[in-house]
Amino acid sequence: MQYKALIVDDSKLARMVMASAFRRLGPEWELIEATNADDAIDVIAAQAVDIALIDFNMPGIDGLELVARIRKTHPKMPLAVVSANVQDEIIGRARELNAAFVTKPLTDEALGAFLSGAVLRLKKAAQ
Amino acid sequence: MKIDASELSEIEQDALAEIANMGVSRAASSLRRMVGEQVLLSVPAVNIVSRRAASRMVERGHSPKLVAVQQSFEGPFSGRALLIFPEAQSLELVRSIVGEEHSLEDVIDLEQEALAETGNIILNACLATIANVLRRTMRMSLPSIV
Repeated sequence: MQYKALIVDDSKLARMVMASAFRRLGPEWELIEATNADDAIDVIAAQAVDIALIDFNMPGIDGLELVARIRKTHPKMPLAVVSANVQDEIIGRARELNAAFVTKPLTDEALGAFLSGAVLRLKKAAQ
Repeated sequence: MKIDASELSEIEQDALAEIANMGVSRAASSLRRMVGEQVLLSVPAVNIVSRRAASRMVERGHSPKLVAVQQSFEGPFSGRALLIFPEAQSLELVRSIVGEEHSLEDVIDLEQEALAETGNIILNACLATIANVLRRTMRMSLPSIV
């Protein structure tokens, strides 16, 4: 089964680093990129996205606010907030929204752990 | 406003150095993961200086052309954090982060924004660690190149 992941980050470098990690860990994933929260909301409204990885510090709507908005329509979608802003409060708010927190700089281990958990949840939901 | 370093007690200066050291160490570990090579840190020192003296300290021993990534923070305390390095090395830094799989042209196109993102990761690692140690929350601005 091919899954679709949405990458939301205003930084092209960050999206490139994320895409490289996906190529190593799960080349079967289809990737869609968005550069801000508004684009991300449009993408999710227009097509079936399975998971989303969302930067926190973006111009306009920030990553946590975007997660909160996605949760209204997709209560069970596996989501991760990806940020170097490792303040306890930011991580805590991500958890409250039932989203994982993945630290920047991104490592294959951290992304791999999130993806395996996400795939398990997607398979369970499909049963 | 003029602040004299002697207004701070020894224990206060020591605490500042220790908190800064925690932030910088975490930032160094982030940089190490990005470039894939060991990052060496000097022993931290606290200096309370005027703006002019600060700019002289930064210039000393470096090429006159510097590039800086700036990020402001607000909260229980506020300020600006700058990550400053010689301009001549900025392309090299970006290259070592994106890896060999991207062409030099790609990297040049990307340089400004890649520096901002790299600075964002390093400065956030430092500032967020300090905020966590102090159990306070700070708001961080978007990074900009100055």
